[in-house]
Amino acid sequence: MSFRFNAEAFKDNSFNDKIREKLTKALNSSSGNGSSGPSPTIVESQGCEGVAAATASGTSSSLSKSSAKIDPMMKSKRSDILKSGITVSKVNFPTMPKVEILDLDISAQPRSLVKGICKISCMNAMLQVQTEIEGNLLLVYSDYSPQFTTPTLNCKDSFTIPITMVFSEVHLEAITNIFVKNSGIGISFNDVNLDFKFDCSIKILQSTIEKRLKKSMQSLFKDVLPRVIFNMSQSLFTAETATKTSEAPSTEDNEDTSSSTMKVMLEESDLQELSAANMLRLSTLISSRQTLSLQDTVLNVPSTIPGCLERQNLHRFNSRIPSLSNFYASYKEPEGRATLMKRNTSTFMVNSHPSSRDQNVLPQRVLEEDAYDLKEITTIQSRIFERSTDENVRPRRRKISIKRKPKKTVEAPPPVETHSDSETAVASPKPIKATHNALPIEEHQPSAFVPMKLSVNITPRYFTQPERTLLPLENRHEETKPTTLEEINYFNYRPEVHRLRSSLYSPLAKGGSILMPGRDLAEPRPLLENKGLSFLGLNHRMRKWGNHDDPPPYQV
Amino acid sequence: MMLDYMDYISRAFEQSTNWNRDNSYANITATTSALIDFSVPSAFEFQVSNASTPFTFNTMRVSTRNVFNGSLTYLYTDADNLEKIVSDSGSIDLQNVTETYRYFQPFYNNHKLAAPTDGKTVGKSLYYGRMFYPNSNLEAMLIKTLDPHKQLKIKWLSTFDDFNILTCYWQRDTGRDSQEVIFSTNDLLCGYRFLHNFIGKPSKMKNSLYNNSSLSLGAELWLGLITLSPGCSTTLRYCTHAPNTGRPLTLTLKWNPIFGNLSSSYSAKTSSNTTVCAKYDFNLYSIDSNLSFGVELWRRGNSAKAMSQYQDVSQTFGKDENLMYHHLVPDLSQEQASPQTRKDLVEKQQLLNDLTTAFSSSLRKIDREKTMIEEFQNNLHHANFTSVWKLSTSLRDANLKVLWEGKFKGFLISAGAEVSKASPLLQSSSSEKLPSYLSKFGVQLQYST
Amino acid sequence: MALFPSFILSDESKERISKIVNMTHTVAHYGWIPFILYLGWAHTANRPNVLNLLSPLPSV
Repeated sequence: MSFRFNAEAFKDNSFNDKIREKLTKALNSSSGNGSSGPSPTIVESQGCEGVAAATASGTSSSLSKSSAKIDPMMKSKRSDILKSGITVSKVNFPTMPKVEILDLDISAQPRSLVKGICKISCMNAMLQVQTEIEGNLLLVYSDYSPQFTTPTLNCKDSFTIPITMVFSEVHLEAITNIFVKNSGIGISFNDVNLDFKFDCSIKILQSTIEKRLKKSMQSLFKDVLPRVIFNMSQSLFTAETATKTSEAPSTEDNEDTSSSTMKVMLEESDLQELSAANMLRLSTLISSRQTLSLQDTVLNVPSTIPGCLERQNLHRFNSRIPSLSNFYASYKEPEGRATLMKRNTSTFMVNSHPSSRDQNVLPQRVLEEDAYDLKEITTIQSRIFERSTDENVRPRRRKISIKRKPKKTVEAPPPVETHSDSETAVASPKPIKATHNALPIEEHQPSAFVPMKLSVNITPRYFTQPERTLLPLENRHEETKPTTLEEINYFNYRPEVHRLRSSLYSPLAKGGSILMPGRDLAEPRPLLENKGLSFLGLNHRMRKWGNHDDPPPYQV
Repeated sequence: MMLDYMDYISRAFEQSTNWNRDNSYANITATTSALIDFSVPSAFEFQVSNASTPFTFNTMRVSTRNVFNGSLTYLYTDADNLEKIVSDSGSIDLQNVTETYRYFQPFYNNHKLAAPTDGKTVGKSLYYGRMFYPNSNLEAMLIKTLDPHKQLKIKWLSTFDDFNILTCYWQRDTGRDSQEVIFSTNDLLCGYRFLHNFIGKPSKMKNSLYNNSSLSLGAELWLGLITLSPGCSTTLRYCTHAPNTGRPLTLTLKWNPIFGNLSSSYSAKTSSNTTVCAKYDFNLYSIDSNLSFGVELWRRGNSAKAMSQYQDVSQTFGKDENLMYHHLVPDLSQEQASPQTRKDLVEKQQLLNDLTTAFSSSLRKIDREKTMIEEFQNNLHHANFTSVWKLSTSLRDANLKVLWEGKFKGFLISAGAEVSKASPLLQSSSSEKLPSYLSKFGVQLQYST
Repeated sequence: MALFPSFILSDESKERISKIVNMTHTVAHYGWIPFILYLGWAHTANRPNVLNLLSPLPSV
């Protein structure tokens, strides 16, 4: 499961300004049309979408703090009472809001794809809202009552009172249950613990407003937020399945028809990183892994997704990759092949044993029977080299001539290559026996990746990250503190991942490419070369391909 | 905006039942609001009205702003003499169908006029119903005069989407005092307002001997029971005439004790064709102030008929014997008193007659003042105005309202526009220069037979 | 009606009352203008044509 968390936004305190800006915008755009109903106008600011996106199968857009939604209920009974726009004058989040995934179950019930439990917390935040209200309620009354039945009032003098509301020590902790289904995302807030100090410049109104706020807060977490998130995700999910060539899903989401007084505001910037096509593909991958169904009859099975290689077919792919062991496959140990075939049919952990993988070594039997052809080996090695490097890097070749037995010419990988241990993959001119025995399995294992080397400069940490977050709850406790800080670093590579994803699914992603921000596309260096094959890990179980200690030999 | 035909009819009803509209706290600042806070039509509107019988009146109104809508109004009243008061749009006096300077008569003058028709106005009623076209809402009104000094007014707005409002007024007007109790089901609003007229007493301050000024004090109290929104205000009104020219002027001072709003206004008829009004608002708590101006410019048509009428009136005033004694003398014909008191009165009158001869010069001065005032009044009343321009502006709101009302080929036309700055709700927090724009524009056409 | 708890007024009678209230409202809403017209018609001595009363256009 790919997971992206844009922590850049939280690194410095600039996100405070961003929140302030967005809140001001959201609050003001709603205040104009609130005159219709007497019930409170609830504005969902971007904080909610942040949560929604974060939970939506992990491709989270900028997750902003989640307590930004507490203030929209500010509007009293009639928004007509407001005499000016609402200004959010101060926002201060001294610590960044945290989203902690406590549990993630991919193979949960048959109905839902992903089930997760998430903890959202936000500490010690401060928010200050300023506006002007009309003090003379009778003026408001006579302005919004029918003229016919309203008696003439002489005391209709306008009296505007500036009002400042400060929410300090906002403390939010919520445990959420998330269900990702085919139709959308269901979310429920279980254990909401919201606490804040409220301070109003008009002391008479303070207790009333506070009471109303606390009351509406319940409905916000119980009804409003889950519905908003579900509706938004639904529109994203269904829009893609209905029409492949559909435009970007509507960014202004006002489909809350059940209660017309609710106004939900989604901003384009919150959604543009969340491509519906990609979400759908990810969910397809997950479901196919879950059901082991590979039928082509269904739309969007993994085999129809270009660039997607099914785990089950990996050995076929590997067998076509140029390597010495592939070329001399017939000389391999027969029992190794047998286990390979057997496992192929039974489980999806096919090539899990590292020794059974293709290694760029000559099988022992070839040497024993003296069946090798030096020219073939040369071409194979040079092809491996060509695949693994840039064109402009010239290989340094070294010819070794042995007097009596001119065994082979070995091309050494260029030392300019920065990747850590791939040079060990090429066998040095040692005694053949030694080649087979001396190299321990641990060292051989990474070399299996050489043919399918990623020339992507994704740090290994990126791939280890999901596993860290997916660790069970018990393990997490001791490393809670560092994780949040480390995540910041992991998420620095957002553009690369975006690039990777878009190139992976390039033919299909065209429909959704509208959503991609331009700055990501302007990435100068191509992340994926055509000759390389990239494999996007979706699951921590993928890690079982390799060994458990060393990171895969990705190019740094 | 021009007076609606049905408002015109209901004012005619009040006139017929001798109900003094101006003697109510609701209309204590009617002059100011007519000159400054007048409304401007905001749509194209057309009204056809018809008095189908002397007792029934109906109106069809059609208006288009963004959508077409209209209404049908029916009114029935059993008041007498309505056919004499109500006239069609061709021959109507323009000053009767526009909200303009309210010429307030001191209450004793009014009382004297009201007396003869006493007893005949009891139990008269007015039924009014108005059905709107697209959303079949109903406006219903019932006015019933309980006795010469009391009337009951019930207004009902009925819709089918749970929005029914009933408002009741119980009004009592004794000339000197006027009281009103109001209850509305919308927000359970309760209100009480009263108005008291002080009898003018000569004082050192007055250099005019003829006392045609009036001082009124009123107050109102409101409470919305559901939202618990209170409201109250008190107003002092002083109407008098300029001593030299006899032109009327009105001064009001309004104070809202809850919100600390102080509003003073000065309005005057500077000539028979122009009216000027200035209003200054000041808030004691927020030190907010606002200055507003309003001007009315009337244009007369040169009609011989109006002049001759005016001549008639001035002649009748000249012949009046009792003119000199004006209001200070009780009217003999009115008193149903015993012969002894009658004798006393005769003696009193005798004494007055002696006094009259003794102070004939000053009395003549009083007379001159009185005739001057009444001349001006009658001149206004019978003038054949053809059109009026109304302008008003307010410094704080930075707006300008223009309204033209006039008669044209039997139609009553009212056209107006309002220029204002963008409302503060639309503007962002930044204080950028707001462009002025035409916020309202509309034309209203009325035709009635 | 909602003001009364159910032990004062049973749900059934509450419903009946609200139905009656609704019906009265409808009758009053649509009956008011015909009532005005009837008053006008009954009060006029020569009993004018109903169409004459209804039409806001000047009668010929």
